Amino acid sequence: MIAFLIQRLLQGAAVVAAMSLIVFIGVYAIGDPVEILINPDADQATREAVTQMLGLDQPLWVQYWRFVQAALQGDLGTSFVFNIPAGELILERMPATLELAVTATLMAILIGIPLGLIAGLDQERWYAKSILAGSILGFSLPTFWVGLILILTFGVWLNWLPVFGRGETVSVFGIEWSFLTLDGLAHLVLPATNLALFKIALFIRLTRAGVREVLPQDFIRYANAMGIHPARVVSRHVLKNIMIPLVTVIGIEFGSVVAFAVVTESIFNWPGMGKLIIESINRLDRPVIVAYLMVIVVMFVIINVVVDLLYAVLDPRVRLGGSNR
Amino acid sequence: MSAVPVLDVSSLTTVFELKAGAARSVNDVSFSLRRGEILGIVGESGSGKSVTGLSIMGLVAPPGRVVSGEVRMNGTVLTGLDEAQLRKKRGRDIAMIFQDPMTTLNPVLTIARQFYEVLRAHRPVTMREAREIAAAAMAEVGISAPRERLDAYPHQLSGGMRQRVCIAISLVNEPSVIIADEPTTALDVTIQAQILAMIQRIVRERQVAMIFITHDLSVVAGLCDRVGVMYGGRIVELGPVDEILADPAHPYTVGLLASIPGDAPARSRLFQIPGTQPSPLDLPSGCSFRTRCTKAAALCETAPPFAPVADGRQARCHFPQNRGGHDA
Ligand SMILES: Nc1ncnc2c1ncn2[C@@H]1O[C@H](COP(=O)(O)OP(=O)(O)O)[C@@H](O)[C@H]1O
Ligand SMILES: [Mg+2]
Repeated sequence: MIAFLIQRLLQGAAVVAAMSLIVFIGVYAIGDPVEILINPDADQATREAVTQMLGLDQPLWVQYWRFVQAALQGDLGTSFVFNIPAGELILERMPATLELAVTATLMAILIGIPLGLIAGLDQERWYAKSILAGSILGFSLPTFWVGLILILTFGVWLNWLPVFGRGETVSVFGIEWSFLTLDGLAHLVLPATNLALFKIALFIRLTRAGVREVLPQDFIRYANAMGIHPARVVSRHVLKNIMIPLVTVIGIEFGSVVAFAVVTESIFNWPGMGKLIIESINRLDRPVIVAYLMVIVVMFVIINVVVDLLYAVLDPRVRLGGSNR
Repeated sequence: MSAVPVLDVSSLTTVFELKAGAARSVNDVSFSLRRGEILGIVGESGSGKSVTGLSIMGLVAPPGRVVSGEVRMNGTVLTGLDEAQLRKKRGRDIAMIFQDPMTTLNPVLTIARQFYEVLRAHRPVTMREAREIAAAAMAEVGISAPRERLDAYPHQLSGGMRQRVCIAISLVNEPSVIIADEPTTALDVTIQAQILAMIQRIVRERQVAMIFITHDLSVVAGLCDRVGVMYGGRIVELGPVDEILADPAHPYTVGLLASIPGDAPARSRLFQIPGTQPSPLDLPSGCSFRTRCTKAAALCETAPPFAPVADGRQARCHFPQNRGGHDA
């Protein structure tokens, strides 16, 4: 267990180091931020002064080395635009995105898995077939389009739910949360639904496939032959077996919601990291872009470790710590 | 052995409605079973042994259906019960042991948990009580240090050990009838012998009734009291094992016995019954064995009755072998 964690920590550090290089070079390659930052009428001297001040006159490797040194001390650079530390900027926006991602993932789990169970257990019934057909819609409709339809339907026509921003928030430990107020919750519903839809469809599919795979197995036939109630067979014997593949996907999906909530956050004006990164890309705010991508990389590394740990909890056949993992 | 049968199966017929037609997998099967008795059901693969077991348990799933016949257990007509009533019987009054111990236990539940699940399906029990019961049940089937295995997962046990656990679980609610479907086929020979001895001991001690399904006549010879020989979904011969082995009445039984290596003189070629078993989709009219039978005659195109051939023996043949003769 300890050996496993240490090993994963080292692996994670290597991944983060490699990604930092790739990200840095990638971001360096796109455009000249000075062009965007200063007044187009500014003279050459001002231009050079700004370039020098931002350290952009140095060769790439020097810039990278400076970045690494600072990053190791927790400094991910200072936003060109806001002139405050990029890390701080991202952390400030993170709760909004996490809140959205957690809500969307929970919705996907609480809706997708039960529907998938029904679709798999009663597969010949009309409702099971409808669920399956519905999941195809969830897969194929583009997120931005669904977002707009949600806004039109529930925001504009029915006027049931707010469609703009986080609403009223409550500060806990210095962090603002929407889900603790009724108004905030109302604001959360539509963007979270928008994000969850694809995942609900995915979980329906995965759960159904798992059920179809587990049901014909001998241990389920045996459970039936020993008189165990069908509901119990599903909740204890089927579900526990299909949770194993599901957990991996839940982990990866959670990571990708955090990373790619961009579209939904833009549509619903949700002040999260996604909206920040779009703004930063538009303004070529390199430190923020780099810092954001690093935060995402670290998050994925952590999610992977957590998924592996959960795996070991759920599947007794998995042993942690082997060097082959 | 008491005289009153625990289980009475009469004219049981199970059909699978397939696209290709109706497969009569179990066809007019009748037998009865007493306490403390082991009845072997022997036959080639596909002869309908497993479906017979499942039909008795009420576990035949669509497109299969028990179309006629009756299963009566301790006076209750199982074939007349609805699913909820039947479920209360399953695992408590009548239990099953499956062939492959590697796949019969749930891979993600501990051994103790699997006992608990089966126990609590039929009576209120706490996990702590379940562990006590499980440890005792495991000791009874010859598992050493049972308490240490309670928290093991199936993959941590050997195949033989797993089958012992399966048997212990099947027995834990003290059913009066056990259907064992080839429980030792997947095990290697030495372990098979140990498990068979253990099964025999438990049947005698607990006075349960067992249906032991196998394709292996030598297992039947060592274990069972009576045997039913299945062919094409029918029991073609039924009676005490020693009598049938010594003096088979049905030509199919004769062929089966002749094809056992142990019975053949050294170096002689093993006998094989010519042809293959008919598909249950397309059974011959009359006697289903007549297409492979050397004694088949015109009369065999009409179905032979399941008629007594000796005291306690029945065979489904118009021309049963000479009683007491050796011309087979
Ligand atoms: N689920 C099923 N669907 C269709 N046919 C089946 C099914 N189960 C069994 N059968 C048919 O019933 C016949 C008897 O099968 P079975 O009882 O499993 O034979 P065995 O004697 O080897 O245990 C076989 O011919 C098989 O094709
Ligand atoms: Mg079988």
